[in-house]
Amino acid sequence: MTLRRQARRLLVRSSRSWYRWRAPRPPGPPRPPRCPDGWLLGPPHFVGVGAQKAGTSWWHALVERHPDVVNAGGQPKELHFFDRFWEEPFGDAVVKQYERHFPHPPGKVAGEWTPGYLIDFWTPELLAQAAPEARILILLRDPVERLRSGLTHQLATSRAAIGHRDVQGAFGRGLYAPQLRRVFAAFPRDHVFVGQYEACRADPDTQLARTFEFLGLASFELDASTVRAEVNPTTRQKFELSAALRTAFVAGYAPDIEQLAGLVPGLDLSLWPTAHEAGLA
Amino acid sequence: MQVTRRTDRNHEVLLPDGWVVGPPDYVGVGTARSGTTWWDSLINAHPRVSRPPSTPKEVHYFDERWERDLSDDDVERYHALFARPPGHLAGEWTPGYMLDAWTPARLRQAAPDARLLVLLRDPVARFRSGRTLAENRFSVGSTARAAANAAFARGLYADQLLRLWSAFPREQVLVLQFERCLADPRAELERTYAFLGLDPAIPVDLDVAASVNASSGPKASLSAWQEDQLVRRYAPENERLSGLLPDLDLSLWRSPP
Repeated sequence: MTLRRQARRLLVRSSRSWYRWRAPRPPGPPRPPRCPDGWLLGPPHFVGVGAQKAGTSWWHALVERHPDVVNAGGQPKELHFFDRFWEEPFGDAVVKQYERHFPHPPGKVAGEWTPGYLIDFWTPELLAQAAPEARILILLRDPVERLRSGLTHQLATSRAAIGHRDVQGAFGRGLYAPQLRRVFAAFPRDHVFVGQYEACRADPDTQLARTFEFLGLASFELDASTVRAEVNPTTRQKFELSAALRTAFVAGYAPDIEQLAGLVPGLDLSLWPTAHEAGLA
Repeated sequence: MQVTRRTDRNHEVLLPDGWVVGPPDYVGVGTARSGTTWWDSLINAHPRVSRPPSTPKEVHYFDERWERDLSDDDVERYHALFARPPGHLAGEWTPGYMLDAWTPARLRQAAPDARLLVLLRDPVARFRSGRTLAENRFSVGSTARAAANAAFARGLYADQLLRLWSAFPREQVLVLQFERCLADPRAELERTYAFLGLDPAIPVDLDVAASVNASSGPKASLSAWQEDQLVRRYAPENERLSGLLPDLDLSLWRSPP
């Protein structure tokens, strides 16, 4: 082998390892936990699917406090299991993999909450294939407040300035009606709980009781300080919108909010400033 | 004698004697991968439509002007892009304008009397049209998942159209269907000219057949499963659009069997 070829090979190899080191972790869920002896595997009993920046980490933590809810191995709240199945084939073997994430003793329940499932247009139907009996949890939030919270979060975590495509995407995640239509097409309506972040904030005890009841769990009361301890609280200055930008966003969300009222009859639009500004509450 | 003006991109625009600048007379606002380059070239083939060589078809003027309100200076710079001989029309076509929630109001501020053009295409065909990754490649976290979501969102036309209508009177907006333009380009082009206030006669030497950008870039291949997903996920949204646009011919678009 000539010196030149050796050098070339070394260069290629080192650039490959450099690439491997730089390459992001392939998307996918964490490794499933060990299933303790005597526990069962099966589809999740509940799956939270949305929405991002709507208090779902807080609410998921409260649901997990219930004595009949287990999380073997302390798995993260968000499994992101379905993220890659727009591109990859989905089938029974994949469903079995999903079930491995939910070991539970007889009589107890397990679940997860990945807020991105709601926006991924392919996911509700796949989730219904994998967990047809699952109870689906959705928290919605005033769409302009959700957008502001998303932009605040993005500013805090990304070094790059927020580009117009980011705002475009963040705005789209607040158009709830098409997202809910996909969930309602995949699951029976009474298996889907649509709550409001603002209602949870205003009266967490009542909303938590509703959530437990929906999940078929015995009533259980948490002490007040636990219930009110926020997970992931916003510590920085909220992203400020100019009056004109706010008006544009309110006008943009108004037709969607109008549809929501028809899709989710119990929705209390008076809790959303955007609905007031749009003349819908 | 020539007058020099500075435009937004710091291009020196040579403004021939007697030419005027002002707000665009027409602005195409939607949608990507739907034949807008073809249609824009047909509009510009009209003898009474002009565009300076330094102004592109897609100006993208409002893209990064989302956070701050438009100043008078911003408006003036926008107008400076549209130089034309007196009596001629000028305009641009940025297919992403319709998607950006802040753009209709800003466009109304910058060009209140502009006629708006929207070319819609079967969202499944639009999704497949090859640039689904490329058109979203600059978004943060440009994973396949993010690109698929962004491409899907572009095909949710109803909300985009309602946002447009909330900023502009409906009679100032012409919505065309790409499939109809393909089937009968002459009739749809005459409609377009008439809507813009131009003589609807098509220039005799103009080849109206679609050829601009026709096959640039590789087509994204969709699996049968993906195609079926798109058809069924778009179906209720197309129905909703059809309620807003009674003239829309949904039989030209894919629908579930």
